[in-house]
Amino acid sequence: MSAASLLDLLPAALSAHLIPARRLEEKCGDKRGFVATALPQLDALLGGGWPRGVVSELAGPRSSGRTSILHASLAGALKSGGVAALVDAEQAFDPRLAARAGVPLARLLWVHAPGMQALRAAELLIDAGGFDLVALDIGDKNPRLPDAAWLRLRRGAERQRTVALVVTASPLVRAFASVAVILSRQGVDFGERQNFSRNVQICSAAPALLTGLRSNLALGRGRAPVDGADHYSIEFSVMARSTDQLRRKR
Amino acid sequence: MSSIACVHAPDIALQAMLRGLADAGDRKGPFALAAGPGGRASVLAVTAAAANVRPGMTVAQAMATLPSLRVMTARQPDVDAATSALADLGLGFAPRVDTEPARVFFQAGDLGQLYPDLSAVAHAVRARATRLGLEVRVGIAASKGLARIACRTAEIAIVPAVPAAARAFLAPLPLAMLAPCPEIADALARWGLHTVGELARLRPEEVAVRLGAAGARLVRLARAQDDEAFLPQAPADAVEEGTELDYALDSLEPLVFMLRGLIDRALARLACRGLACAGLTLRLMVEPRSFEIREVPLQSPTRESGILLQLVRLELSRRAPSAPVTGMTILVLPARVRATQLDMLRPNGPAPDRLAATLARLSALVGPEHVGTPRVADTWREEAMTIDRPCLDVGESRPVPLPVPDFTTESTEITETDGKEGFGPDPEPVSSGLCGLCALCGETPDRGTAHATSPNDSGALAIRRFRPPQEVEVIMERSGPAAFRGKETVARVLIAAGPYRISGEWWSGRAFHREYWDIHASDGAVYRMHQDGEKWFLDGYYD
Repeated sequence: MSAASLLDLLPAALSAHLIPARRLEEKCGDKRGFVATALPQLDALLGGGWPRGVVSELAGPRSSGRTSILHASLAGALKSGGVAALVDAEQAFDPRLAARAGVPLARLLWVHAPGMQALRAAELLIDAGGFDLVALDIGDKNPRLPDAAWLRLRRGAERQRTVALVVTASPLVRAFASVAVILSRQGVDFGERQNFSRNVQICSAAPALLTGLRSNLALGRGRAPVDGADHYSIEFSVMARSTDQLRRKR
Repeated sequence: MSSIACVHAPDIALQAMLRGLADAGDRKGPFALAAGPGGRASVLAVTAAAANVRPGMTVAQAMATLPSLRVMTARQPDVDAATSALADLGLGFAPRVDTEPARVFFQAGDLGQLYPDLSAVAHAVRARATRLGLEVRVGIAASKGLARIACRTAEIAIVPAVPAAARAFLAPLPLAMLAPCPEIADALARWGLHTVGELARLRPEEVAVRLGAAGARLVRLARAQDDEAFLPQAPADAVEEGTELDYALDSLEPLVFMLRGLIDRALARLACRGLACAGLTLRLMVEPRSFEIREVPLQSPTRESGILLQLVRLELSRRAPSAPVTGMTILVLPARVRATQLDMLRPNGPAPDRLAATLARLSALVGPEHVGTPRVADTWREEAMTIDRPCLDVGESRPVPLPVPDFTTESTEITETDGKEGFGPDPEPVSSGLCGLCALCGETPDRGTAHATSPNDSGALAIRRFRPPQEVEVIMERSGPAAFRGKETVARVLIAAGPYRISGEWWSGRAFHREYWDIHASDGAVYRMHQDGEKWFLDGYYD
């Protein structure tokens, strides 16, 4: 009996879940030791995603999109069924928007740890093993952290093959990061306001509606991308926020 | 044919005290168990290394005979724990056991598929008892009474199941093996009977006339006709180990050292039954005559004593005993360890026991309220956030991964994790373009060698929250906010989009009515702020 005729015998619901063996690696989401993000531009810049077993740094000023990239990284890491942790030094995490960005919150461990405690918490999480991504969101205030702590973080990540992602306002990890992505602001997009429904009353005093941000991604440290581009533009759009609000108002 | 195994731990009080010794090598030394008031205390039992000391000697005599003798007194928590450990030993081989002081009986006839013969079962029982810190004798026979007699004859004794062969096994044994009461033993000695075979030749009815029912039962036992009922019972729900201390402890390290022994012993008992620890309750006796309870919850059943000890240490360092500790008891909840079928297509995730230890350490580091799984709060307040007890969805029950939105399409539907409300497709893209104010805010678009990205390659924009929202002063113009000043931020407003009105919780005492604005400020950032009454607050910035 041929493979095609065997497939015909299977119920449609079951055959939809069949995966060719050659695509197993792709389905696992772990391509040669990378954890893919939900952003194709970032994956292209990094050569497949955040590399496992090293400390990576994501730095950018306010409104440069670093939190959006953090959400996309968490969503990408959790897409394949893994577990991720976020150490939030400033308690800036918004679960509503993270869920909307595709982060399955049930598999995300969140820890609020200010200052040096944040680094210690990240170390503990990495040492526990089994986490695909441990993100350390240091926030806007870049404290002076000892080099020994970064070294311990790097060794833990190497040992456990975990992605250790440090999110900062300005480069902080320096030589201890194997990959550094620097973000810069390109612009803010405002669009004309539209009435989404006849039943919704909108104040017309303000002329514009925020639709998104544009940022520039550049590789500050790490292997250059295959296609030779040294930076990428990326857009972050406000996903149905206004629509959602207005619907709830109804 | 049924086979009943009897496991006997001789001198269980002495063995209980030896179990409490931290170093197993120490147990081989000369030890004696003594009881009695003050200087008239007498020796009850001795170890093999103290052969010259006989039970019944006073402690002074024993010390004179063997100066290196270490004399101990029995403590009831240790004896209880040893007795329970003996029952657990039986429960490792059978689901129900029958117990009596220093003995446990269980059905061994159905172990044929695991062990080649009954002798192998007996050896396995002794080996497992050694791991529990007990030395036992094992007898296996067709009935409970015969198994008890077999136990007395040798360290391992198997009585044949065939009645004739069983009688032949019993016949040469001295009458003392039947453990008759002293009156009956005297009577039998007066009759000139010395072996079980000689007693078996008498008729039970005639012996009953002279010695009563107990005598008749002895004759039936000598004839391998045992009628004692075997009444197995289900095990207790929890495993308990405890000890009393000679001196009160007031610091953490010695306390943890003592707890280590208790935890090791409890886990060994659970391992005997193929179980693991699902939770631990610590009961500390503190001065004067009071007790304190500490609960140590576990994320998943574990057999790792190191992890349990770490959790206990963290709990005790978080909530130290209020007074010196004079004794302690641990209550371990048993649970079966479920084998997890790992998924070929998904990462393994953290090991549950290591995750539990890590969560405990994180809780100790930053406080339990700052560790957890985030959840979308059931409120219209944007800054609200709910943290659930950490229970990562790993292992067997891990659900199918949620669909990650495909940002390359406009019509992706995203469902919140609480499943209460879905969001429809995005509105048609409005006329977006450069804000035209990049020069004002100091941004210089540099496309250079960058790849041109289509609008469909966009990600979801996030907001970075200020918790709590920062109060700011705002200068208002007719079209909206013109400038604002906060504790950390002072900026002019380049573009203000809004207001978006949200109100709610009018049914409670915490009603709010807010007008939200999206502000592109002169420092380059895009803030989210709201006015609630007369006050303005900075909620965060788009990032």
